[in-house]
Amino acid sequence: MLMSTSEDPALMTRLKNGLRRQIGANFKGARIVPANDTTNRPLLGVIAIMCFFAALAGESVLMINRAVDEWTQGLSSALTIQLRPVAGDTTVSLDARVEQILKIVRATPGVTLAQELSRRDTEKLLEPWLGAGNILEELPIPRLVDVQIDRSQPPELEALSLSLAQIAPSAKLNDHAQWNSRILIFANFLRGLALSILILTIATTMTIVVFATRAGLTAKHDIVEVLHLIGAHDSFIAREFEIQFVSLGLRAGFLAIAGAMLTFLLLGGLVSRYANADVYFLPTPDLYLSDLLFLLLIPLGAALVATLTTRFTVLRVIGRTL
Amino acid sequence: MGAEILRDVSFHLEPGSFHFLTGASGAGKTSLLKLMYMARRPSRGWITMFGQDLVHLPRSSLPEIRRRVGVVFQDFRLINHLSTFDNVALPLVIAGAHPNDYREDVEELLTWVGLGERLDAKPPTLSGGEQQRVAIARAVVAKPDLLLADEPTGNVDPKIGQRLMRLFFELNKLGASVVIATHDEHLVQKIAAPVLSLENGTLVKRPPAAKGA
Ligand SMILES: Nc1ncnc2c1ncn2[C@@H]1O[C@H](COP(=O)(O)OP(=O)(O)O)[C@@H](O)[C@H]1O
Ligand SMILES: [Mg+2]
Repeated sequence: MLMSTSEDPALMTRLKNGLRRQIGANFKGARIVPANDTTNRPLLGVIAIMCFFAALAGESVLMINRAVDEWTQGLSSALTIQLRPVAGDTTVSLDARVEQILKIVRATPGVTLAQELSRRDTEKLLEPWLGAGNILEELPIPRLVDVQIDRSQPPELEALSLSLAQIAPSAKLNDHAQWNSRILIFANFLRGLALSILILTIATTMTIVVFATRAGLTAKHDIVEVLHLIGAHDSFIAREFEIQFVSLGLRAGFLAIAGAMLTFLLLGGLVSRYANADVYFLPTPDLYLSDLLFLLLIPLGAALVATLTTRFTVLRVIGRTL
Repeated sequence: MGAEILRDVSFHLEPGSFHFLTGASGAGKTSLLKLMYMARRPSRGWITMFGQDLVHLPRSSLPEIRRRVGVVFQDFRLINHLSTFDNVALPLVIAGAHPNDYREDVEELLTWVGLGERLDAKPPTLSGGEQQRVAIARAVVAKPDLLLADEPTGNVDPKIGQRLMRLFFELNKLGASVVIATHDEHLVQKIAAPVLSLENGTLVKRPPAAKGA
């Protein structure tokens, strides 16, 4: 050897032992690519907002599904017979006609219950349109018969219609099928809308993450270059960038869950406070297990979307370098 | 395209050889090393390393070759927010090593370059010479097959300079080829190693300036 070195073995050992203690206490394994707090904090806010929208949109779909189920089930196990007073027809009184109808319907197999809607109930139904008062006595109000059927053995509706027509030509059997299909059209539109919002929030999140990642790559250009030159694979570098987005996505998602739960609690409070005939058709915003499961998907989904987007962006950008 | 810095450059490094790369400032030493550590591709000509054609190699194959090359960059290129220890350990971390497996090696190496007390220091708090020693430790820690050092003793006093050179000799004894770029004629005079000299874009080979080795 050309160079001579004067080594003090005792000093070396002492140093080493001191070092070992020091490292044991201090080595933390810092992240190679540090998170950028100045960009990540606003990013957390924006992604949390996107997650909140996604939560509301997804929850709306679940609520619409439940409402449609409730409605179509409730309606398809119920029929209504409407008997309109016909001007000039005085051969049989309306009361008698109703009695006849009830008799026929009750005798029909598959019908579990048939009863006339009381005057009070009818008035209540019409109140939002006509107001409270004695108007009903002066108006030719149709008489309504509410029929509950056994859905496992439904009555022959065609035959029932025919026999009703014989005794009362102005009687109309309404099985709500038309009503059902209108509800479904409306519900499908709302579902489509909510799903579109869900997709848009995901697309927006991805766009934001692409921008943030590109900014991060520019800011950390020196580190990326050194990592390359000492032999890091692209995937290693991508992982360094991804890691910060895992926790960012999770945190944003949980913030959004909290916001969504709060919103539903408020909505639930409003509905139960003002629940009456005016809003009876509103779906109940109770949180079911399926809602909680869906909400839990939000942070996971946000972390996944952000992480994959970052990975894809990093690989694309550094793939163009040497 | 600007002026051509390297024109007529042709050389072969045997495994286990030790060379100086000299030339005035601006002669193209750093540029030549950059071609060798694959920070640049040549606009013409070819380079083979470890039997691989560097010019046409797909970039996905570069990391495996780069891991066999240790580089002391002229501008150090340490990662400022990482401790001295973490900077030196970086090549091992990238290769997937576990901290328990490299902790002692890294400590020992940093002690050897005289930074045993500065394991937790961040590069910005170190002097130029200290940063250079960290850069050298990082270049040799993974025991590369080829060591490229760009002015590695430029910022340290002669005594530490000798110590650092010793590190390169140790690595060379383990079988690594070593190329040390320097414009320090003193260093070249003292050590018996063949010299690659860049002059006007061409490479001239000279025998060892000193006797020995
Ligand atoms: N990226 C670059 N683009 C254009 N010219 C460069 C670049 N890098 C270095 N040079 C030029 O190449 C010449 C050689 O530089 P360099 O290789 O750093 O020399 P040395 O390391 O021998 O001092 C210099 O004239 C320098 O200005
Ligand atoms: Mg140089």
